[in-house]
Amino acid sequence: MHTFHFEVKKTWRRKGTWIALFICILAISALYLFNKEGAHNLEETNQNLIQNRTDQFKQWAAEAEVAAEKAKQKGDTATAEEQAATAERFSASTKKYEDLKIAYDSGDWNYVYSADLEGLQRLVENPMEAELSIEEQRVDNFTLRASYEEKQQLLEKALTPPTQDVLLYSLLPTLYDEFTGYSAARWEQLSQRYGTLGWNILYQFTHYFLIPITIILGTFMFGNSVSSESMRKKRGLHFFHVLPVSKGRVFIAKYLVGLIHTILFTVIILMIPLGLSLMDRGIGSLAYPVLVYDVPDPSAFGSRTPVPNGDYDTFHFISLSDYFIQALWMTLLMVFFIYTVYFFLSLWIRHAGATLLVTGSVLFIGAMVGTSPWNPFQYLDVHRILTQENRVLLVDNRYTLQNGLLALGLTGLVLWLVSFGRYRQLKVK
Amino acid sequence: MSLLLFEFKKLFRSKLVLYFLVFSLIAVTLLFVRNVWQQERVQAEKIDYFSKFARDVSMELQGNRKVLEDNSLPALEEQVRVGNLLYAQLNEVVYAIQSQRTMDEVKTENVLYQKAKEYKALGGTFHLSDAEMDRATRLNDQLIREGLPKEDLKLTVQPLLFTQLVLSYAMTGFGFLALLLILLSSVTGEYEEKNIRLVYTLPFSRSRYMLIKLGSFLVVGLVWLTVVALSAYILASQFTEALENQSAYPFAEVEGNWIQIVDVIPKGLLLGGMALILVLTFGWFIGYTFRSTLLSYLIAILVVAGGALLVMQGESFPWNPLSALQVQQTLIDQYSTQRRIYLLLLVSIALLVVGTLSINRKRGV
Repeated sequence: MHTFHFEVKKTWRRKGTWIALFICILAISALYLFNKEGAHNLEETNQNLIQNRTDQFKQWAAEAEVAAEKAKQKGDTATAEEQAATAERFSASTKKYEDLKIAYDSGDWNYVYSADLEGLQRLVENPMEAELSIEEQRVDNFTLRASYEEKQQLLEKALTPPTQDVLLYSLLPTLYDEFTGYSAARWEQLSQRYGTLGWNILYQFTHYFLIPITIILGTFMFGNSVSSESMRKKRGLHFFHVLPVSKGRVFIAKYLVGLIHTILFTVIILMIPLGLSLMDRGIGSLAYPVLVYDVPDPSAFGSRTPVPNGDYDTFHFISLSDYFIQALWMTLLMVFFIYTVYFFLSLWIRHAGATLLVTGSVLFIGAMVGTSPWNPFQYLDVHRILTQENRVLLVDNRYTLQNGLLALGLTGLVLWLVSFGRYRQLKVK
Repeated sequence: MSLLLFEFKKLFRSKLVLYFLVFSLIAVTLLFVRNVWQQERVQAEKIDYFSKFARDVSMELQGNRKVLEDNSLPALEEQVRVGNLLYAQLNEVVYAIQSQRTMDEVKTENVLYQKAKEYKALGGTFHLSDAEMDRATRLNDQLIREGLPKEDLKLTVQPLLFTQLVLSYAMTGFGFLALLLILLSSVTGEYEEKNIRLVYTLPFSRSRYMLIKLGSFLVVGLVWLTVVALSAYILASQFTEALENQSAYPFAEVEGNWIQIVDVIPKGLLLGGMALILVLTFGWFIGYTFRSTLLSYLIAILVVAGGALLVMQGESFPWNPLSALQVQQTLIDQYSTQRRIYLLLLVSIALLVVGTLSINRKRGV
């Protein structure tokens, strides 16, 4: 325990640690602000787009009215009636967009969702007759069904949505979308979402690998406790060798102190967006629906290769609270795994930069090669695991949270044991 | 000169630079091996792409034929007639891909797009926009003019295209950052291990020593870039039968003109070299300013990788020098305004050099 306290004290007394923590907090705050700016810009764009549509329909209605009047004066009753009907239709559209603008500006999401649901319902119920295309490439039926269901849940639970392009039903992007070329770029733009409330922002950051990146930074800050004391000019380990404490105790103390600090660091960094949101638009609701893909039954494909099919595959939604509880377990085991990988490598490399580089490369290559449910690197993309994307894409039911935790935990344990063996043989240069 | 040699000796004796060069060579080789393995996949993906269109057209034709069995609709009959031709063209393209008749593939694809437009004009469905088809046609026309087959630029094994592919991975914020992580500790380590006290007792100015350190960084950086580019080219040249006219391969279309690969590589190397100098100067600046490995690394990671991520997300600012770190993207996006970027990079480098020297001129250890 004394050794543990001593290590904690050393970490806390290092000024660099606090400055590093401060810099990381600044960085995540900057990320939050960029996101806020992005959301704000998109909101303005949406407002302008709705206004443009309103003006456009107003103008068309006025033109149709003038044409109807002229036709009336010429005695062409048929044209006059046709133009009058067109003007009426355009006026109705103008009213619709005016109401949408008021609803969007005032955050009346019930109105916005209801309008979207009306359009989506037609598409979902008549997939053979109605379709939605981006630059003439079809939006997959699965995406339409998932978006419809999401909107219904948002409406039922009276939730605030993330900011997104509002004119195309704010569709929920799914793995079934297969756009190419310009359509892919346009789809990316249309389906880009910016969270505006605390939990939604954290959820959005999870998509962008915030969890593994934060852990890597944490391990870099706290995982060099052995390697930095076994250099040619920094021989801190010599000091321990003359104390009446066993090598094992020193190793465990150093390892645990780094691990605990990495966990604390990860938690602090992940909590910053939530803290900032409290001073901004609020923390939001944990009832927000998260899409989870249902895995097609491989036996249904017989001898054929199983492939995802957007017309038949099913899905369900879980709440953001369930999502974060699962993410928390994954994060804890991932900290243990990544920290142990870094710690293990640092015992061999002993150069912080090179260790960081090699750790990053090992994680990247590990995630790229070998699609096995027992490959722990496959579980670094937390979002894809929790939404069961991997299970669907690879049609393999073994990609589960439990197996992920097992793979991360067991591999981490093996590496920890090897690290211990290496530490016992470590010679201070 | 002797000081510069001394710095090199220090860098190379730590072996990290050598390991990094070897690591880069291994990465280039692995990428090449992957691309060689994936050549069959390129063909399969192309077939899959056109087969999807064929399926859609076929289904629509079936439906329309049923309608025509009971009714006589001249417009629909014409649509079905053109649809049949389109379907035949789609099969022709698939067959050309399967039999690896590369020039036929490109020519048939162009005819296919013409038919597809005709089909759409008659009310048929073809899930590709006219703009997309026009772009593909323009590329195909250029390829036909130069007598070149269509390559998958991400899975190519052609020497010049593969070299450009490797450079597009190396010359990014992340590639530069990797090199910086290796070099940065040679500055911060001297402060942390107190070697700098000894250095300051030697008979030369502090500024000179710092500039020589920067010089050693830049030479190592340029050596790395050269090794990466040459290894990619040599590897692909040795194991691939290069196309006769590969240097004329149309790489990207900018303002209606095609830029050939032979123009892209030198321009990319020039811009990438400047961006590399910026990153290394920035690393040198933070190394001498913070004098702590932990802090310098963190700032380098957050600024360089963060800058790169922002550019990748499309958040590019006209006066942000870090936006040049995604070299290929910058080169294509701002092909006509490159002078401004070079100017921006030069000014940033100069400011960093002056700033670092000023901050450290009389600063204690």
